Amino acid sequence: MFSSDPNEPTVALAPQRSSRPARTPRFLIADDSPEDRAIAFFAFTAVEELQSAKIDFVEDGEELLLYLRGQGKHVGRRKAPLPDFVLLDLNMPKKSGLEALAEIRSDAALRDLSVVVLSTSSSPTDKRAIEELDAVDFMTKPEDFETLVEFFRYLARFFYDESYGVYRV
Amino acid sequence: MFNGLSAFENSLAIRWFTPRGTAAIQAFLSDLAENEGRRGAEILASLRRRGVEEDQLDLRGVDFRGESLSGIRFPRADLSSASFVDCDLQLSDLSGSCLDGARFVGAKLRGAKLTRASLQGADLRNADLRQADLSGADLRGSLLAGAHFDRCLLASANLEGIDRRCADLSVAVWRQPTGKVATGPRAQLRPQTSRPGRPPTTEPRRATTRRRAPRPRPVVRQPPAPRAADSFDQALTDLLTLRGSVERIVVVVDGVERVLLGSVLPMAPV
Repeated sequence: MFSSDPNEPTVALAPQRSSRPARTPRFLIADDSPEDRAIAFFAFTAVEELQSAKIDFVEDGEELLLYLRGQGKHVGRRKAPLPDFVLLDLNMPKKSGLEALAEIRSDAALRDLSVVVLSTSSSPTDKRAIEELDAVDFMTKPEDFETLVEFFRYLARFFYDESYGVYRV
Repeated sequence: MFNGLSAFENSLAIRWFTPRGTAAIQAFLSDLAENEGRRGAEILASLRRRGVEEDQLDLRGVDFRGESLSGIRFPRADLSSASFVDCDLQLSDLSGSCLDGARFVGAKLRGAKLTRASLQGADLRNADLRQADLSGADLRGSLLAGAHFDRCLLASANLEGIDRRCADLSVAVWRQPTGKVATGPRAQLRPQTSRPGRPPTTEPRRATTRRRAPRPRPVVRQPPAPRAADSFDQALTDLLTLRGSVERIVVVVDGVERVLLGSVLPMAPV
């Protein structure tokens, strides 16, 4: 009905879409456990839409801040953009996840980073502290591999829209 | 940060893509359709983040892309940086909403009510705004290329900083439909076809003795004869302008009733 209207805009209504990604989505996982890092890596690679994503790992809160600020052994990071998404474990040596998150939120250059807290802890005190520090989400570490894959699949929709088969416009 | 989103917008938007965020949005949309969003605050409480007013729903950066939201009425919500790309929002009520930086690319906003909405920096490219009510809306710095403004009401709208060459605003309506000049701050831009107003003068007006105008003769006006609409589209257009006083529009096509208002029923070509 509307297509027959002579007043229909001459410009196509559909947004311009590109079949190529604008750029690679970047993820950072902060976890001291090598097993958990390996599980997270395999969960990422299991998600088809994140095949082109770049994943980096850090082992404690201190290294996380060095990575984000491009200092120490991560001095080369400054050439690359900040990660689009940080997955943060709470219980880490040197600097805990909560301390690192508090520093991220107080740093003007880092305060808007998207951080999801992933931890074995489910204490209400931790949850309240995380909410106050404006984390995107909080989830207890899933026991099975499939749940983690499913979580990453959800996130992938932000970067790669399945219904259009292209990256976000 | 990602595809033109700032890190802040990125962090506001990505929360809707977690399993919890996705479930919350589905629950919110059902509540909106069934209960006019009365349970919205409860549903979205866990995803609320700092920076919005206490009594507002925090829907910043939400992605409603491709959703059919025709006729929907949004409660008091902060929808800044939200995505309504390719969304069906015909006859929806978004009046007074905060839609700064929202994306309406290709959205169908025909007959939508956006009075006094804040649309600063919004992306309305290729949006269908025919007969939408944008009176008093703040459109500063918005992108309007390819948007369709036929009979869109733009009285008192603020259009500072928009690129007029990109959008044909001459087909819009610049005054209130009563014929009365719009109150409040005048629209910043007016179509070239509009009649130029009286030039401003600093001199005080002289007191003159006015001759009383003769009383006009009473004119008996005949009510206009009802005329058949030229086309189905014209009939629908006429009906859409009466949306405030019409609850239900039923069209009978080949003996089959089709409900138009408050429905998303696709229409067969007539």
